[in-house]
Amino acid sequence: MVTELKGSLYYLYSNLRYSLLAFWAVLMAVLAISVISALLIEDSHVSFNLPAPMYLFAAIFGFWMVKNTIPYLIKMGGTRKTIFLAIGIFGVSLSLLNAILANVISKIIMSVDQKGMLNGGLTVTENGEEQFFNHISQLISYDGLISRIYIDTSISFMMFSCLFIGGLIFYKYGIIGSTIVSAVLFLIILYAGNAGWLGSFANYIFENFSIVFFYQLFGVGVVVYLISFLFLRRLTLR
Amino acid sequence: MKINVKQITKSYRKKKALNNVSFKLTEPKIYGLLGRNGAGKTTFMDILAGYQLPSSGEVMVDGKDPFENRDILKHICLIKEGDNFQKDMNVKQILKSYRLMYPNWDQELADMLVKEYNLPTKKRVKTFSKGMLSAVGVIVGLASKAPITIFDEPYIGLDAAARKKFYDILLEEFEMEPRTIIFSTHLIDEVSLLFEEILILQEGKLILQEETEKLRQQTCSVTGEVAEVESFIADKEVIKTKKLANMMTAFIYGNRQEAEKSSLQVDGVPIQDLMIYLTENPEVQLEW
Repeated sequence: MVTELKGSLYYLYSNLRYSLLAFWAVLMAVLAISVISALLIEDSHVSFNLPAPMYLFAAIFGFWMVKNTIPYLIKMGGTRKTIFLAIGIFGVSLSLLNAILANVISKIIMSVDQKGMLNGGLTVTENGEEQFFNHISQLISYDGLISRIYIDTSISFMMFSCLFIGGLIFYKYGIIGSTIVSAVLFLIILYAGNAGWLGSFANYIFENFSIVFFYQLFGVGVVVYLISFLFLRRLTLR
Repeated sequence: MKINVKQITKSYRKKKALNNVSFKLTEPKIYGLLGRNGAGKTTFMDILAGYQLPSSGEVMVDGKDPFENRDILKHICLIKEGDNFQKDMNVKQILKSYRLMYPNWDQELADMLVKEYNLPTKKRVKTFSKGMLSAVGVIVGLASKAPITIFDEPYIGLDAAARKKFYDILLEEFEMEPRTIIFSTHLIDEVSLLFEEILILQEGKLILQEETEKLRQQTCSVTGEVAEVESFIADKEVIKTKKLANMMTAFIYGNRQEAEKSSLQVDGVPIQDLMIYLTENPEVQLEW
């Protein structure tokens, strides 16, 4: 199993390396242009937020992986169990790597910004005071590099898991099946919204907002990922 | 490795791609899996390689179900006519992935074949022509050295010289290390000499499983003047006749010795013609 896992991880890495490089290259290019413009143009400010595209990237990857890696790993003689394990390891590693890169790059750019031109996010004015908001961790008591990395990893992995399970449903049951599942989910959310459950839940989160929420979020991501095995274990190729 | 197919049926909604098929492949040989489009060949190969599950019945390899069984799957390599590899990868990455997945992988052979087929190793395969992609498939199939290697039309786009190279290497490798090779193709005449045993599927049913040599012994073609040939074949099962001017050739079932005693010219029957005849005449029951 170790060799199989190694083979699957190598396959995933070589398969996704190009997309990962392309993603960071585009992101860095846009960031570089923005920073250079801010330095060249007087009285200008640039806001940037690296975690947001990273979350989106993780979600797209989760969905994309189903059709573009699982069939090929099965064709290479891989078992669904090992593929599941390999994709799980890869999903967590990808989320962690992106989170580290995004936060370290943000930190470096902010630290070289002597004139305060790069605020890295939203400007919130509260009681006449301007506050720069560029990371969700600013809402919790401890805002440091580690907590930022942890929060980004948990959100990324959650997004990855949700879209991965969505991709599996889409692959397994086709457009009709996935439309039915989406419609059922939509109705549940609508009902939960009408019944006030969503509002109460949002209130509860807001009132008790702390790093614990992100531990729970990561846990939910893991549970969602584990549930996805139900769709993968008997998956056949079309 | 022994393959035992027991009454497998695979249905796609109302259509049965395989209908109660049973057979055994017990020896390492080169098997020709033949049949017309939609006969169920690909479905069978998919089930054997663990891509699909049968609706009923079972396929056992050395007494074990290959589906989700790594002990078996690491010994089965299926190369299809297309979509074998992720297009963003290059040849080097593909070969390394397969090397990690197949315990009998022969890297020396893979490197030799990459040179032989003149493939760039660092270009992504999405830039490859159909022939080059087929060459990658052929290399992986041969270098995997999997005890059960399945080729399903592996050479789409390969020119005649490249195909010949493939047949030669396949035969050479097989002679050095016999393994079960299942070969499905529509270019039957081109590869029929490689086959040691033939299986013919027709509309999901197995209509023939026979050793090629036996088939060759039990069928023959006779050529001579029309009247002479017609008189000879009058009481025989005729597969096909061809006429040109006053000459006639007839492919028949039956005793080759009897034909050889006549004044007619006797030859073998092309496997392709036999397959066409059998699949067009499902009522024919052969007794060998």
